[in-house]
Amino acid sequence: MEILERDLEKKAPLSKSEITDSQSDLLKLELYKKMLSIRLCERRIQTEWHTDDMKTPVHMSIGQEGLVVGALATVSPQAKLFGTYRSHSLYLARTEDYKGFFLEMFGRQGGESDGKAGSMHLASPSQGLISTSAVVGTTIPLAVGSALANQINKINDPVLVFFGDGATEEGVFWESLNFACHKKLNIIFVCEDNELAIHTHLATRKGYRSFEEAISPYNCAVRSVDGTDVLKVEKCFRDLLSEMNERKSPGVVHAKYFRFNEHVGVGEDYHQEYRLNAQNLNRETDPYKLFDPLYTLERELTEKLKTDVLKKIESEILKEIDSAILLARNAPFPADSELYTNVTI
Amino acid sequence: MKMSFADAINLALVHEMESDPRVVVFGLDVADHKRILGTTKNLVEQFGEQRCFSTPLSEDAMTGVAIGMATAGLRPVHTHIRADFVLLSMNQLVNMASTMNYMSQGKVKCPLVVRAMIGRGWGQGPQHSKSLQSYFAHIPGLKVVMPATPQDAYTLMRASIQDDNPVIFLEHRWSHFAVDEVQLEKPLKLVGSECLRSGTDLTVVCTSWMAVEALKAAQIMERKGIHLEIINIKTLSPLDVKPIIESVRKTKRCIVADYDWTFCGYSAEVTSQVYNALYNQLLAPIERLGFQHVPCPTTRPLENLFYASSHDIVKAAEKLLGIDSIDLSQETQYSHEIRFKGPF
Repeated sequence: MEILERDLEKKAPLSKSEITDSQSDLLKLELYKKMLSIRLCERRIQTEWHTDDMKTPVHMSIGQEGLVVGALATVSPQAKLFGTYRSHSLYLARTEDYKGFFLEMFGRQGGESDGKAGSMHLASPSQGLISTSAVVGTTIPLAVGSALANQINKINDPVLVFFGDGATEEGVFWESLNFACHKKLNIIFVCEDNELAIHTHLATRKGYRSFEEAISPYNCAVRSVDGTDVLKVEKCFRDLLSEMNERKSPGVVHAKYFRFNEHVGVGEDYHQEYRLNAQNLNRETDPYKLFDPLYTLERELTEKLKTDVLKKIESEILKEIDSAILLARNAPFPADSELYTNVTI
Repeated sequence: MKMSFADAINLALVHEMESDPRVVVFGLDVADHKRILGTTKNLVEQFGEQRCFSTPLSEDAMTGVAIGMATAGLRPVHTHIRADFVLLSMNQLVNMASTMNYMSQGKVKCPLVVRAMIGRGWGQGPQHSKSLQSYFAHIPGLKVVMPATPQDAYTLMRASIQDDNPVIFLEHRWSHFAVDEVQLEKPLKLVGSECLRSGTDLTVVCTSWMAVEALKAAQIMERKGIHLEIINIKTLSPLDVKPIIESVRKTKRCIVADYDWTFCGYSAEVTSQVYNALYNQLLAPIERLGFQHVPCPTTRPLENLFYASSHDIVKAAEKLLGIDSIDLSQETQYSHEIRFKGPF
């Protein structure tokens, strides 16, 4: 099936009727485009890093794109989102705002938080991305509160909260899950499992058989999915939302994905000693062929599309990133007086 | 009209919930048959279970839930029967609630009230006896209020709920029994300090229950012709120190009686600010009173020594004024049995 040029011009999100059970090629292209834009922003951060102009710790989303993009594709733009310090993908997938992104990353005035938030606390409240946090687990109960507010205010959109495998070891996760299940809240708890809590592998922290089994006594719908496959993720969330709607319960998604980079910073560390044994890799393994959400989908799309379509998409994104970087570099820092604004109202 | 401090809290909650459908009250045991010592009575009946409910034992998560509700436009009042339990909420209060508005440049507000009961009860021991206002006041982004009178209870509770910031509302258990005049029409503002009693000889700056102890001390000293001026700090953070400085400028002697440990306590902040303004005008050093620096013991005689009382204020005033000791052997102390019933 050929995708016509005009389809690419469409800016509006795909309506429910356009997404059939068998995912349309247009959906696949949309998903790819979103993942690519995140990847290209991350790559740009990597190439800009040595200029030391971004003074904020970056927990990169390379490898995470499929999980986030696939999930967001199944909910309306009004659905509230909560995330972690690893939320470049979440911010870009929801807002598509390269300018705001780089302004915040460069600590300049004009980003969503005028530089006060930085990489770890990206948010876009007007677009529903309410809070991302650097203390593990801390946004999970906020998402539950937001879902409770929706219930009280009779708003039908689900709330999505993203957290890592480490967060499931914090007590607050279980407190939040319990309360959400008790109140029958419309919320999806998304565990982005890359098996690593910084450098400590899951195998050295785990005292139970499986996460799914640990969740099973709770009154909620549960799914496991390969988080490296955006199409599987999209279908998984759609199915889950359907079950949640029937049961009137929360949902939990356990999605494994691969963290290509070191915990924080622009370097890759998947061939470091601490990961090789723990994650069954050897130095010859190219994880980009196994775990990159862009890799598989790109091959499928290249077969179906005219050869220059993907290249055109890529060059358009790169142009937008270029102008965003230029804008950020030339933007002013917040004035000294901003130190004192918005402490208390 | 006259009402008890406890009823004033309840009435404030009722009036806020009546006038604003976004107000939600919850916490452990908020909806059980005892209703947080009566202060949450009638709320479930009048406003329904969605707006007033008891929670699982999950103070950490429920604080986050409250914050999340606040970000979504509701106005939650998270209620704790003991301030000691708020320690479970510190991660959320300090790392999330206090930073939301700042980090979002005002786009995400957190109109949350955390209400907790503090202080001495009846052999409560070290885990049911704390106040912790210095912890909260230390954090930029949090407001802290400590009502002393029934009027404070009503006005400050309503003002706290209407405030768009996270507000920590600490009320003393023994204050509940005090009955006094409450004017419902007084402006609902988080006002700073109030002069509870005018005097010329010495200023006693108080938080919470220490205002009651200070009034008793003032009555004792009045009989010896010493006139204490009592300033009740109602809003600890943000602190409006001007009324305190004006008072001490007049009396030139000051006791800071804070209902908490003195070491690294809130009293140190007030004392430091007063010294900063009046160091060369004081006739004596500033005396700080509060808890003894030990965990609170359960047995009555030691518990009596732990908490600062009117007698400690009298003795401190005698020291600062350089006067003879007043005979206190006939004076009673407030206790679980001997309650302060008002008026102020």
